[in-house]
Amino acid sequence: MRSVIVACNTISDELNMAIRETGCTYPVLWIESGLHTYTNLLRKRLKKELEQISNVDQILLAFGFCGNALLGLSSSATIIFPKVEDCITLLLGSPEKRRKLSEEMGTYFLTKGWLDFEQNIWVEYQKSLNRLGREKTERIYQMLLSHYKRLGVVETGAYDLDEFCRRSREIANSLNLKHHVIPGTLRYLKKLLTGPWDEEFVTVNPGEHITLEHIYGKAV
Amino acid sequence: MNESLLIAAMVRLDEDKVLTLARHSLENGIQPLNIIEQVQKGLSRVLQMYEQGICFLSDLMMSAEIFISVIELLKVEGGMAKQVTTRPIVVGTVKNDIHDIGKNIMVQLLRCKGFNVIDLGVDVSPERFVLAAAEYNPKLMFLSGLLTISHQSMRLTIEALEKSQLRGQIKIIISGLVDEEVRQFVHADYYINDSFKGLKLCQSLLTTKKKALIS
Repeated sequence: MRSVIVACNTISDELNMAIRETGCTYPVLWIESGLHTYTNLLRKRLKKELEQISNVDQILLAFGFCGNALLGLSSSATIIFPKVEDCITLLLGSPEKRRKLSEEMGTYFLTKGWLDFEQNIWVEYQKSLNRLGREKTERIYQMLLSHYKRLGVVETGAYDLDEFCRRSREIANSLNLKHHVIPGTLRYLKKLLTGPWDEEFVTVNPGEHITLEHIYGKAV
Repeated sequence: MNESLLIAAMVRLDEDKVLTLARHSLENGIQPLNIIEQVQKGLSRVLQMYEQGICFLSDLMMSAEIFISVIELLKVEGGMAKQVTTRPIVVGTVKNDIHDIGKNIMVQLLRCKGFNVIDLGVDVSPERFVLAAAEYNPKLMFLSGLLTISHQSMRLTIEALEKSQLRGQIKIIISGLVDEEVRQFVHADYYINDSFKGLKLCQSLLTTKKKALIS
């Protein structure tokens, strides 16, 4: 089976580790980070990438639904992607775990890739301080994070946790959030690389377009 | 009212200037709803800039804050919120989502126009929506959500309303990160991405009913 991986650069630490540990030999096409905030841009970028792929049987998309950025995509190859709303759920291991953690308390999840590459809350906070000053920034973030209680660092062993936590603790303190390290897993990512592509994945046949039914199933 | 000044002040996120211009417009006899429409245009401009990557999330939040300040000003000084409709509008952010800034703007706007709004808060389960439908007998329901997972919750909520036989009496509007495709998927009646349009939609739906009753 000729396969290619199309992956988000935000999870490069974790995916590279999963590739090493599974001995996966498929080529990887990396999509630059920073497009998550603008899902239309991410969709256009993915569409362009998929259109340029030929002579493969299947494309493994290392993406979640990402604000419905996958909707409408199609390819001449089979597309397979994990049935998760975003890469945080992918790294936590399951939607159920994500829900359980969110039910414990409102959690803003963070990984090193998210902090290094994305238009994340910390970058936004610093820009807000510079542009609007402390008083307005505090007001905005009180509103923005009113239902969030903690910053949850998802630990997968893909990078130096101690070093990362020094940064994440500072962020949690500044945003008045508790700081928790939450155990993650590479299980789901590894399964994307190796199969079996069972009910945890969406499989889209060649020529078919990705729809909301692919993601959530048909209405009851 | 100098429309461009009000929109420009909103785009600059100059809260003092926006409030001064809004107050000045009121003093000159401009209708509160016309002022809100201008402020919404400014908010939409900021949203466009955000979508193009020209401005940041904090700018968007600040514009929402200013919008709410204007609504409060108009409530106090513009004499709004005098009438209350008999059948309430039930509003909530759906299960597994805790984002409520867009919802809060909608609630403020509706209350400002005198609608009786029941705000169920965030992370509202389908069962809670069904209970509210039974308890308050609303004409309209707003299901709000920003996360992708909210679409599933919206669909489950509408299914629960259908099963409880309450769906037929209620027009359901979804708001947030939604479009026509999502509306069809969740089986809602309408979708909105703009609170001013949401207000206009509510007014037209409630007015239509009134006209129908009269005829």
